[in-house]
Amino acid sequence: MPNLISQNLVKFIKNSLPGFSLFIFIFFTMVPLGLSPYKFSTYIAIVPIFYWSIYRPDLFPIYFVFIAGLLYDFISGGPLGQWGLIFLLLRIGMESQRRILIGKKFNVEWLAFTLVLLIVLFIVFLIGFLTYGTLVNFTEFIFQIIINIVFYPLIILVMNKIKIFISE
Amino acid sequence: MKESQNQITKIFLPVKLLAGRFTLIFLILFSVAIIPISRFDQNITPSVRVFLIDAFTPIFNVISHPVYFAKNTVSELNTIFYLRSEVKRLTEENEKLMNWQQVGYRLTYENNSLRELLNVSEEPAIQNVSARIIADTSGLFVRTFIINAGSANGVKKGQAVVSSRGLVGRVSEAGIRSSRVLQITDMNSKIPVIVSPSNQRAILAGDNSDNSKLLFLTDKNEDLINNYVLTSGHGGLFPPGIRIGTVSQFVNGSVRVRPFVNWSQVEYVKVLSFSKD
Repeated sequence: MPNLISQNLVKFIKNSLPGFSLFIFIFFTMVPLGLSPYKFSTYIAIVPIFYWSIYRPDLFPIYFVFIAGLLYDFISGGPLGQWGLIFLLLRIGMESQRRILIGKKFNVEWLAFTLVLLIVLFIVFLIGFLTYGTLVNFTEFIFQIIINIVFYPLIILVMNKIKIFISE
Repeated sequence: MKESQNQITKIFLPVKLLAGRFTLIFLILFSVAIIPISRFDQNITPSVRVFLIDAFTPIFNVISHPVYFAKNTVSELNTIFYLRSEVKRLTEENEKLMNWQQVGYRLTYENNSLRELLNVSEEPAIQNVSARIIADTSGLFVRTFIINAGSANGVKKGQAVVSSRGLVGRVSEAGIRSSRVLQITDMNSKIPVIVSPSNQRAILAGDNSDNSKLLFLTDKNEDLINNYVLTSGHGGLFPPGIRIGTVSQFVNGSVRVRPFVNWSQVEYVKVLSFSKD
């Protein structure tokens, strides 16, 4: 009996890892690395959503992602609903594309992430423009795109390890 | 029994799918609807934000520690590596500061004598609360950060926040144990300032770039370059005389100010409590 309980507990912990990783990334975006606008972490929270929606959507419920997005909105101080909407659309969109992306080479996945990142940043730009009536600093905008694309393979290395650990 | 269960499942499956889709559409519409509402809502949204930031303060405290530890270690190593040049620089700086100290004593004495002579009312004392930056919540459209001091430490909304180099921003939301600070570079930041020594009044407005704009300057000319920009104290929110930066350039008719604060180095700040009552 205790063995069964511990097995269930281990299974529960493993199954919680995708959701937990999203929270880790959300908090990581707010680590005070320096108050410069050129920080690499701003949009890194979309990586776990992109990844888990493709590989383990069963462990990554849509409502959970939406609530995480709302929480991010509340803490980050931007327009409320922005990240809730983006996280939700990303989660739904990536699950619908998982059949196309699963089993493909890493380059294809990387390219898909680049496209998703551009769409996400366009939505951020659009919401910001409509809410504040101002344009973004384009140097910072380009910086965010490049830095997220460059760091993607490194993050995926960790994500793959977690995925294998969950499947064991 | 099993067959009847299957039949029930078959009947309710389309309903379940339909309900699921409607929920998704509802969530999307809900998100879109709250974006403009939250922008103009001044009561509910800030209260929830403050409550959540307070709730997550322990986590922010924990995650910020390793970062500062790493930063401090690098800083220590740099100090050791550049010890000789650092001692030389500090000795020179110390000599200059000793001279300024003499000037300061003389001016304080002169100022006090003149105040006594003219019977000028006492300036209110400025109290301060030291706090550490525990989270950076900036994005493409927002320049804010979270500090680990709140109303329990005497922090109130609107108070000025300074670093050792100068003005950093103002408290925009104050929780019990934490507060959100709006940086002077944020597009919603507007601060009454005085440009010295030309003594022109203006408004320092952020636009999310590193260099803020000076608005409503009466006399825009190139001589203003390198002039100091200080808080004027108008409006009674900020104490007068807090240094902010220097006039750095003229771009397409707008005057830009380079803040003294080095954003990448700020770790501790002071929240100034100032009241004219």
